[in-house]
Amino acid sequence: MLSSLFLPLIIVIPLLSLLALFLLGEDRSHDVVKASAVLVFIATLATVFQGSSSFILPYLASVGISLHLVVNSFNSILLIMAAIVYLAASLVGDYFIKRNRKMYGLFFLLAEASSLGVFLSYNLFMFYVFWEISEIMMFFFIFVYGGTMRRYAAFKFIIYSLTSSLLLLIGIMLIYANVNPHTFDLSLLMQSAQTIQPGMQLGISVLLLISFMIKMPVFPFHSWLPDAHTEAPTTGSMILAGVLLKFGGYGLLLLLSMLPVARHYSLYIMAFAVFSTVYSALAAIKQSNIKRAIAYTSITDMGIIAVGLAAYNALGSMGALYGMLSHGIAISLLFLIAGTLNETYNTFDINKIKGVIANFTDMTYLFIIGALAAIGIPLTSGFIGDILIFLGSYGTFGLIGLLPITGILLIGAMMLWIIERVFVSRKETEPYAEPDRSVLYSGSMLLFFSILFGIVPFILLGFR
Amino acid sequence: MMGYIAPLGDAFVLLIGAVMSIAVIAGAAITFYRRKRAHLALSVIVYAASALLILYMMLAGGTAQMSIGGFMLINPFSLFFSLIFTVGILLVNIIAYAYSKDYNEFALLASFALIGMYMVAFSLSLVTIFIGLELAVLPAVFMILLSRKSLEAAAKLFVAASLSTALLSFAIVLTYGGSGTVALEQYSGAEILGFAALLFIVSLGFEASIFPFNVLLPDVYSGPPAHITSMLGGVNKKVGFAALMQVLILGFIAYRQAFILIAVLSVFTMFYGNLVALMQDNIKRMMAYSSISQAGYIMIGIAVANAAGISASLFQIFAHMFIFIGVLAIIAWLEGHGKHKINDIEGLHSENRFLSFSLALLLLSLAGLPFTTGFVGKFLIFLSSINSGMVWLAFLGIINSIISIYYYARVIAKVYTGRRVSRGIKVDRGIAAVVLTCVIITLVFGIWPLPLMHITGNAAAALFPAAGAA
Repeated sequence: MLSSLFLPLIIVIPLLSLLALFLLGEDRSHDVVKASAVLVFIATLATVFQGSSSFILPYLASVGISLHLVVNSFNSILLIMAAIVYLAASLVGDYFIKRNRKMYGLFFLLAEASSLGVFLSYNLFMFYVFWEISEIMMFFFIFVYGGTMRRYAAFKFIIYSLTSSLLLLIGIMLIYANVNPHTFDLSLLMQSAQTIQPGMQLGISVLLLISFMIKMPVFPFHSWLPDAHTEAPTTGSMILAGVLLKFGGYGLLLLLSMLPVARHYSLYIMAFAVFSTVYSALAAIKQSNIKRAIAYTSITDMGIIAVGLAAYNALGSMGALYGMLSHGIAISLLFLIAGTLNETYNTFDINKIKGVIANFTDMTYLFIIGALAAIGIPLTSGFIGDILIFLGSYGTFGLIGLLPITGILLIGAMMLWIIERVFVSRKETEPYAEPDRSVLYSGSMLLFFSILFGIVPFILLGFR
Repeated sequence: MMGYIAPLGDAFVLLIGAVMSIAVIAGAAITFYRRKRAHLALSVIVYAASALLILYMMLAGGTAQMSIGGFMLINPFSLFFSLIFTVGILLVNIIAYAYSKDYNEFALLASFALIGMYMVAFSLSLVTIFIGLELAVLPAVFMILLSRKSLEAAAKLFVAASLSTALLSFAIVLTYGGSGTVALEQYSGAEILGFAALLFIVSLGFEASIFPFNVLLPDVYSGPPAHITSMLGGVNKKVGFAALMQVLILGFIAYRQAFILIAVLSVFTMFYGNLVALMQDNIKRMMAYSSISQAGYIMIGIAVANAAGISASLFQIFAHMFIFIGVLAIIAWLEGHGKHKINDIEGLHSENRFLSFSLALLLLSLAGLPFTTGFVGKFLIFLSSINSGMVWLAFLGIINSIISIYYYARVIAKVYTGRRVSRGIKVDRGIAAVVLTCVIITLVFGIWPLPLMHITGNAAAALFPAAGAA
């Protein structure tokens, strides 16, 4: 079957591109990355639009580990989102990364292969392995290409992330040890994990929940994110916010559908998520660094997605998946523009950049529409995600489920305030440099998808 | 049980003969002849041939075992360890050739040590283990003395080895008193044997760098030049584990307290190694503490005390040996350029890309990067301990992995940042070969661990004869 042929290609293309990367010179490395991202994008679309398919390669059969890749209604939306974000990030590589380009290509391709691997794997072991690799690649993104405080931010990121991934590892191994027959394969676990003793299920759920809450992130475990985003290079921020945060959401969805006991405690997840939403929206308003402000809104959006997941009904889950798609695209767009502002004005400070619209009209429109998509204005993909999430959340939690709307209102106010101060104010700051054309291409592509998925959501939701 | 076909038994005798003859030839070489290159070629050929022979016996023999003259036992377990020791000594020889001033003496002492290691691996009785351990550790003392770098390290190693010997002999005497035999077989009954098990853990703990008995070890590791450290940490320490596994699993499997003690000590060993490693600024000293923490992980597998646990520990021993020797080869190269501190290696990336990449990869493997042997080993260890109900042990082990990432990442970060010195620095071909071997093995068995898991599984099964017969 053709689709099961495309399936492993999604992971294999970036890995093969590594070969081209090593053979070609430093000057060509961004081209390799772009070509690879385009091919992955095509392979992902081809796979997803052919419907559900799977691919199995036995790996360590004796311990129940195989490379089991599956495309289904859950992950196809996330796959498309990841492919789009990686494509967008690859397009602006030339502009933002000017040194150590070959090494950047190595990190980028490994991150791409492993992030898509996380969404594709239907084997918990491989899920963990891909998760871990993409985290380590992100550490290097921040560490090697980051801003002035990169050491601190990179180490904070890696300590949080590895805590998260190792909690995940313990959880996965506990699941393995408690099911009969021992296996990591999700297609078997979806049935057999239900039979784990409730006490053990609760323990596993707590471990995994903390792990995913660190990754998403949700309130008490969020403090790595603003620092990581502020210091990461622009493309790194796009990938981190666009793709890596979604591992947490996807993991939460898997956890809830695997362990019935976890569902009984969904109110607690929801409580944390609501608090996180409001808290981070308030924190975002306070920021004077535009990238930091955007980073905080990303916590807000992920909180809303967590509410949708916690609702655990068809509308909520679908909304959360769609929200992740929308958030991935919108937040990458916002980080892209913020990064471009830094390249042209040499600062992220909201108070020092004035009147962008007078100089760069296109960037202003990109940011405004990105902000609207992040808030969830109709005709952008964010709206579809939000409406589904709140319908689902209202269905499960009642009126309390609508609380996170406060968060949306707050970040809406914050976004408009940023737009007012930075982009459309009367005063004008003189830019130091012109932005590159690639920003426009990459940004327009993200914009196109955000609006496309907002107007015709059924091209993706139809899979269900 | 099926025996080996006769030529294989002969092959084993041939093997021991070959190693002994190289020792003799090395002695002659020192007396008459000062050419190092011919000597290295000879050592490499003999060790490589021995390694191939052991590998052949391993693959052809399957799970069979055979005793030679009632004093030595060939089984997958002993073959596994003898393979590790041979390859380890081979790699160490190449490093020493590049950086030791008196390579001939080093090679001679290393071949003596290897005979001792073989004795431990193939032993059927406590007495052979005792003699083998002595033979393995004393040459190391002389190696450190010969390097004229660190008298202190030699003295400390000697003190530790003497203490270990004294306690080991006492343990053997107690075992003989309790069971009436010095043969390695399952002991039971007399309470005095429990005390003997404790003494075995203490005495072998000196060799295997188990927590309270390893306080002298970092000085021993960081004093001498890197090629000697690579032998001490890469090969000699594994002898301690070979002996510990044989004695505890074959002899004292009935004494649960001994394994609980091992579990508790493993936690202390991991935390001690990792927490102190965090504060080191000398890279060799950091590696010494890191190898202590790795010993802690290996002990988890022993504490689990079933075939899966031992198999995982053997995997980790294999992984750690190659990683440690690879890193120490790079450190030997660094020392050759007068770089000892972690701060000195800033910007190493611009001086030599191959070694920087290898160092990063090997350290990430120690930290547990997926698709490297270090990760597979740790994963199997934690999985075995969770599977046998020791969740807390795996949990503490995993916490330690998180801690350890900090100091490995710090070194890697230094390598890839900082001032850019555009001039490349050449690497000795031997060092490059050793590092490349270690990196390839780390990656190949990390990506495709099945063959190695099969071998370690067989080796571990050999320690559990009762389960195998059933």
